[in-house]
Amino acid sequence: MKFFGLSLKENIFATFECVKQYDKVGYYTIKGSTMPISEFKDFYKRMSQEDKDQVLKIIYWLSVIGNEYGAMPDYFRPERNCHAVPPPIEITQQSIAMRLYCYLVDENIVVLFNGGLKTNNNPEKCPNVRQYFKKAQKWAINTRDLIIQRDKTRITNLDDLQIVYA
Amino acid sequence: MREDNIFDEAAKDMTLEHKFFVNFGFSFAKQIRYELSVHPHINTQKDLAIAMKKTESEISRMLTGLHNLTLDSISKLCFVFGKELILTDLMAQEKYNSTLATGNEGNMIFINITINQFIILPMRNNNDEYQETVTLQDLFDSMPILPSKELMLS
Repeated sequence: MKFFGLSLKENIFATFECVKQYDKVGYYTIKGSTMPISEFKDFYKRMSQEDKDQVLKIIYWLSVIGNEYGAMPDYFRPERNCHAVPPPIEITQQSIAMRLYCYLVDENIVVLFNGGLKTNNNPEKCPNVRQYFKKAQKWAINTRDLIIQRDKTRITNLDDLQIVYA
Repeated sequence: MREDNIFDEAAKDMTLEHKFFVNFGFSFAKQIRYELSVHPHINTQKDLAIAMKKTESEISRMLTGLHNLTLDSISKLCFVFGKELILTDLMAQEKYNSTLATGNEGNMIFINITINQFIILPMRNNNDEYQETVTLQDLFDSMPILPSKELMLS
């Protein structure tokens, strides 16, 4: 929007979508109103082409957490304001590792964002994950400020939830 | 509520190899947590990091259950805790004179608990080559012959 010569950026919003409901964890993701697919679906589609093996391990890992353990913070990597699913391969051994950024609302609800193959110990210096890391930080803060109502692992006010996407 | 089908889609491509990797990671992480809870001196991730000459973040990663532990790291853990943390099937046979999983036929799995005691357990689903984990409860529940059951329980 142009306003007296100044360019005012309009906010684009994102809504929350359910990815999978397990006994102990409900997994959710976000979808920008201008985006054709959700963030987690984008991660799945992109990363399946890069390294499907790691993607499948991460998804199975998420399903075990969801069925048996709950989303205890110990199982996730803290990444400033958000968390990440850790790499199955030591970064020092193979110099690549997959990161899926997410936000733990608590041990029963996890919002999955996006990620990529990390090539540098500092995510802000990694060309692959920099954008997803930065967005995840912002989305995590925005999600933290929401009032999320739930029934165990299920968010009950899903339709009311939205955050600034970009 | 409609769910996205990504997890189900991925599940179709998952093999036992993926499941073994993750299940083994969780089992090992659980074992390390247990050792930390009972060891006289090494009780925290920091203690363990110092004992293993690793960083705390490396220890933290080991405890996530999604970490590719090397034989070197496993050996160090065994050394630090002063015990064997991994028991292979053959090691278990030597130690307990038993075979944990011996084979499968059709959609049934044969488990040999002790000499001359064979138990048949139904497999979880027909796609799995054999059941991934068998708990003691599974075994006891599946024992149809009372004398054997009493023998095991005694």
